[in-house]
Amino acid sequence: MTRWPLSYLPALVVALVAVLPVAVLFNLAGSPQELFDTRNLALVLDTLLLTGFTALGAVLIGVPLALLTAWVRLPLGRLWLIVLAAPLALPSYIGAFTVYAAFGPGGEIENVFGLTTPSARGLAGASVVMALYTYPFVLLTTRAALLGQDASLIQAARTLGLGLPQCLWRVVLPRAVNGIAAGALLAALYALSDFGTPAIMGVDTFTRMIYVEYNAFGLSQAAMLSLQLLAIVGLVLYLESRVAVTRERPGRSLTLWPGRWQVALLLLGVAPVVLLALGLPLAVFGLWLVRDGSGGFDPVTAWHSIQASLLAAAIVVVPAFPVAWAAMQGRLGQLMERVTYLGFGIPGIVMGTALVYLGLKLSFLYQTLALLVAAYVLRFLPLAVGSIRATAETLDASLVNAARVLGAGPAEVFRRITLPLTRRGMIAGAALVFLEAMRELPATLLLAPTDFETLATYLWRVYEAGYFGRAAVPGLLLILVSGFGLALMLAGERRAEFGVFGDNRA
Amino acid sequence: MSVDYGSTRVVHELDLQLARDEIVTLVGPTGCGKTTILHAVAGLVPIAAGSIALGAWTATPERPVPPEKRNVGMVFQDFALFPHLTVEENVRFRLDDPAPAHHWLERLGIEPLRRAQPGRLSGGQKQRVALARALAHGPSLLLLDEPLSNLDAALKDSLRREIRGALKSAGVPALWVTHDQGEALSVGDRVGVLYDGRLQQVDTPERCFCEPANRFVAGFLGDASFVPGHLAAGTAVTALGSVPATPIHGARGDVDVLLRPDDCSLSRAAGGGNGEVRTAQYEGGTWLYTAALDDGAVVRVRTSHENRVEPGERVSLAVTSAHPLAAFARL
Repeated sequence: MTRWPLSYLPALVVALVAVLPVAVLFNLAGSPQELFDTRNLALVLDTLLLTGFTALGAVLIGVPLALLTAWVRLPLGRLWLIVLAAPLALPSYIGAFTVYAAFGPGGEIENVFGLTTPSARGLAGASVVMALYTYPFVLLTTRAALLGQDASLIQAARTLGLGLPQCLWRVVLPRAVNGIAAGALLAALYALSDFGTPAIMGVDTFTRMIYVEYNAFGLSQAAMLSLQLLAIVGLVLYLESRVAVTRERPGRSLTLWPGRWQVALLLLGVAPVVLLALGLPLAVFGLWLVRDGSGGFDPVTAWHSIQASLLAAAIVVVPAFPVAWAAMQGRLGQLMERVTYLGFGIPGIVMGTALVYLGLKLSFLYQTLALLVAAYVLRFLPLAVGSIRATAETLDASLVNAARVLGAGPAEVFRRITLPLTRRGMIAGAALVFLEAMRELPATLLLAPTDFETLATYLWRVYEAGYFGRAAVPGLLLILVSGFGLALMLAGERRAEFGVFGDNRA
Repeated sequence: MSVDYGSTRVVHELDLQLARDEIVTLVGPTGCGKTTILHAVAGLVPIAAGSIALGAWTATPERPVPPEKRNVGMVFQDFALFPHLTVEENVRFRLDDPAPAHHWLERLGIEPLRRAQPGRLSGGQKQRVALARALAHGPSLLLLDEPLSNLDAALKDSLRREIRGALKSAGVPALWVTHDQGEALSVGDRVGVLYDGRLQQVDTPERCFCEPANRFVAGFLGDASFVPGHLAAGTAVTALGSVPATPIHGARGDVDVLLRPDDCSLSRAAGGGNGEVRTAQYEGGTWLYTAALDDGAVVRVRTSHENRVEPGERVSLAVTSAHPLAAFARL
C-alpha cells in the first residue's frame, strides 16, 4: 500500500518548471565544445578574484563581530546585532552606487568636505563594497556556531592555564571553523551572482559581461557565459553542501561583561563598518534629496515595482505550498524541494537571459509583465517554500491524525487544520518574496516590458545617465523596503529553519 | 492482525477481543509495538495481515477502512489539541449538537476553560480536553496512547482514576497503552503484556502479576527473584522451605519459583539463618535488602523500616505470602 503522497505530483511539476531556465540556456548556448572558451580566462580570473576577496573581507569583518555579538554583554545588545546584520537586507547595488558617487575626484565627499579621496572604482572598491554587504552571512553563521559551543570548555582550558586570546585560537575557532566557512561560502555565492556592484564599479565579471553581451544582441554568447557562471556557482554550492555545521550539545555560552571604556572602544571599532554600509547610503541619498528635491521622480515607477512584486507574492504561494509539503513527506519530496532551490542559485542576470530567450520563442510571453513575474517567482520560490515549511514543520502530525480519527476526511482536514495552521507561513513567505522582488535589479533590467520602469531599474538608468540627484527618492524608498524586509526576517527568525539570529539563551 | 514497517514485522499476529465496556491496558518496554497497534486500529497505519472489526466495519489489508469511517476515538500522547481552536471548538470539532460537548466539559471539570486557547492550558487540563473531545464524538472504541506520560507524577494518580471513571460512565471499551507497569495494573480490567511485537499474556492484573506466562512478564511487571526448588504435587521445596506453588506451562521437577520482594520476611539471625545480606537500600517507609541464600540464589526482600540489618550480617528468610507462587521450569 505504498502510494505517492498527494503533494508529489504538483511538486514534481514545479520542480520541472524550475529546471526549465537551465534547459533553455543549454538549448541557446549551442554546441558544447564552445562551452569552455580559453578567451574568457581574464573574465574567470576577475570573477574569482572578486569572489575570493569578498569572502576574505566578509570573514575579516564578520568573525570579530560574531565574537562580539555572541559573547560580549553590551547595553542594548539585541540592537547591536540588528544594526550589524542590517546590511544583509540592503541590496549591494545601493551601496555600490553611493560609494561610487561619494568617493573619488568630484565625489560627494569632496563636494561636502573638500577632501579628495581615491576613486572606488575597480576590483578593490568592488571587493570592499561587496564585503560590507556580505559580512552579515559570516557574522550570523559564526555567531550561531559560537552560541552552540559550551562555555565550560573555554573555562576548562583557562583552568588548565590558557589565556583568553589563546583559548580563542586553540579552543574556540577550531570548532567554529565550519560555521565560518558556511558564511564565507554564502558571501562568495552572493559575490558570484551579484550584478549591480561589479557593473557599477566597472569590474568585468561574468554577470557584467552577460549584460554587455545581451545589450549587443549576443544572446547565445550571453547564454554561454551564463552556463560557465552556473558551473562555478554549482561548485560553490557543492562545497557548501559539504560543510557540515555540526551542532554541539547546547550548553551555557560564554558571557563577557565589558567596562565602560571597553564599550566605547568597541563602538569605535564597529563604527566604520556601520557608517560605510548603512550611514553612507542614507547620507548620500538624503543629501541629494535636500539638494535636488524629489523633482524628476515619476511615482509610477514605485507603482510598477509594487504591481509586479505583489503579483509575484500572490502567485508564489501556489507552487510553494505543494513543494514545502512534499519536502516533509519523504526523500523524493526533499529532492524536488532541492531542485526548486535552483532558482536561488541562479544569478538574476542568468535567469533574465534564460527567460528573455523563452520570451523570444513563445511570442505571447514576449515583453509581458507575466514573464517578469515568472522570473520573480522562480528566483524567490525557495523563500516561500522555506517559510511555509518552517511553519508546517511545527505542525504536529498527530493533529492531522486526531482530526481524521474524529471523522474528518482528508479534504476537511486540509481545510480546517492544515490550511489555517500554515497560513502564517504563507503570508510571511509571500511578504518575503514581495520585498525581494521590489529590490530585484538584473532580471528586471532584462525582462521588464518597454516603459515599465521599476524603482531598481530607474536607479540603474539614473546611474547610466549620470543624473545622480534623481536617485534620491527611489534610493530612499528601496532602503525603506529593505528595512521592512529586515523587520520581517527578525519576526520570522524564531521559527526559521536555521534560526540565523538564533539565540540559545532565550 | 500483523503490522509491517517496510520489510520489518513490528506487530506479530495480535489476537485480542474487547468486551462491551472493558478497559484493556497494553504494557511493554519502549519499541515493543504498543503505539503501532493503536495506530493500526485507528487506521493510521495499514495492517499487513489479519483483520480489525468494530460494529459495522471490518478492515483487512486488501480493504482498509479510512480512519474517519471507523468511529474510534483516540487520545494522543501529546494531546494533539488543535492550537487555532478554543477548548470548546476542539471538543465540538465535528459535532452539530452542542449537548455532548457540554456534558463532557462539565463532567471533566473544564467548563470554565471552554473559551481558552489550548496553548495556555496545563498538562492535566490538556489531557481532560483531549479526553472530552474524544468522548464527545461518541466513539465505539477509545484508544489512549500513553495518556499520562507527559504529566507530573503527582497528577498521574488522580487522573488515572478520573479517566477510568469517565470511560466506565461512558460505557465505551478502551485500549490503553502505557509503559508504566503500575498504571497498567491499576487501570486495566485486563492487562496485555507486549514484548517485541508479540502479546506475551493477556489476563486480569492479578493473574498477570502472580502467575506470569513467562519470565519476561514476571520481570517486567515487578521486581522478580527466582529461587530454585523441586516441585511435586503443588508444593515446591526450596532453600526457603516448602511453599505452595502453581506450575506455569506444566512445569514440574526442577523449577525456579518466582518470589516478589513482598512475599518474604527477613530477620537477623546471628551466626545462624539461611542467608547473608549483601546490600541494603533505604526507601523511606521500607528497606529493600538483597540477600544471598546459602545455595547461591539471590533474592530481594522488602521489609518494614524498623527492621535494620547491616550488609554482611546473617539473616533467616522465610516465605510469608499465603497464595501459591509461580513456578517456572528450570532453564
